[in-house]
Amino acid sequence: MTVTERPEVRRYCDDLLLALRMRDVPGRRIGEVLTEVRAHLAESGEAPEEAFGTVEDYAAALAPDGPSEPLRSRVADALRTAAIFLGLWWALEGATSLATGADAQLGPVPVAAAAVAAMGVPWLLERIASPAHGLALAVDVGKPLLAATAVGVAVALTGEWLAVGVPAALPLVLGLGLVLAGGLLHPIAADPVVDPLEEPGDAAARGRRDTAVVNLVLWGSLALMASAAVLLAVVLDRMA
Amino acid sequence: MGTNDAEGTWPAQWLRGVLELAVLAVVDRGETYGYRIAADLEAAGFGAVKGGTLYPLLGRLEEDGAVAATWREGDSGPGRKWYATTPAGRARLRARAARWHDFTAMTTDLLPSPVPDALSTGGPS
Repeated sequence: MTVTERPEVRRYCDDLLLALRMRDVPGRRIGEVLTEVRAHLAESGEAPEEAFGTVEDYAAALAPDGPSEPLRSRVADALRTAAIFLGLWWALEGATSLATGADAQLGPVPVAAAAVAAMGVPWLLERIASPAHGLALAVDVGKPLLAATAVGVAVALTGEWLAVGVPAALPLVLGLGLVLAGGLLHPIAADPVVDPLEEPGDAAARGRRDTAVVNLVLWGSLALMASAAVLLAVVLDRMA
Repeated sequence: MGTNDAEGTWPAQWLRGVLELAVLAVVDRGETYGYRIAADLEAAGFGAVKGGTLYPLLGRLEEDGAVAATWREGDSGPGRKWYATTPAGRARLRARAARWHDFTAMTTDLLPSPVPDALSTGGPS
């Protein structure tokens, strides 16, 4: 028999799931925590915050060190992001040049943008996931964003001067190679939240299925966006 | 037991110091689960131990190998995680309990005896 879950319990568990995800707690452990919270609240009838405190406090009590991803994994993530970002940029540059018949430009702009994306995105996500809110978050995030913008403007102003014209095939091949390397370097594996009573075989099969879907959606979206960008560039070139 | 002070709760520092030992003692009585551990602690006079305190503590005991846990279907609703002490947990309980008795005996010797008024009202801490 399944007891209907109270709406406040459902909300609390949804928020707790997100807070634990942001702290890189594995899906299997999250499944255990949520089941334990639900079982306790079903039996005690208490309000979630009365029994477990705020979602942030309880997540911090369960995973006090915050994101626990080791440095090696963080570096691999940053390299993957940079490789895919730069690879896509170069592949688009090459494909567009191939379609329009003009020389491709290789310069520092995409390299700088890839570096900012690789370091800035994880940093930003961690800041948003931390308990800092409002003005503190704005100041915390604002300073490095200003610095990154200043670097971006400087690179953009000098980028054209530093860029060199190359045959279209060069950035296309380099770019596709980088995207492929980025995808293989650290493949994305789904880490689904697993009910502790689920059979291990079923949970593993669901994990493989989720991984396949995540990768299909991710790479399919990237391919679609890249094709649309090339098409747009060609149309704009024809119109000019 | 019901030996709370005049405000109805023990000082938080005392509970922090002894809660792990108390939880281990409750689990050592026989296989049990989170909510029942909280209820047993309350019945023993510890006051209401919140889930937000109890479950992270049980998680640490499990990580340390002092308790072993098994998931089973609940009578109704979500599954339950049942806890039992391991041999290492039992040894830890015995060793810490012996030290705790020494500690409380030492403290009792040091402290002044309760005055009759304090005794009759449950005794302010």
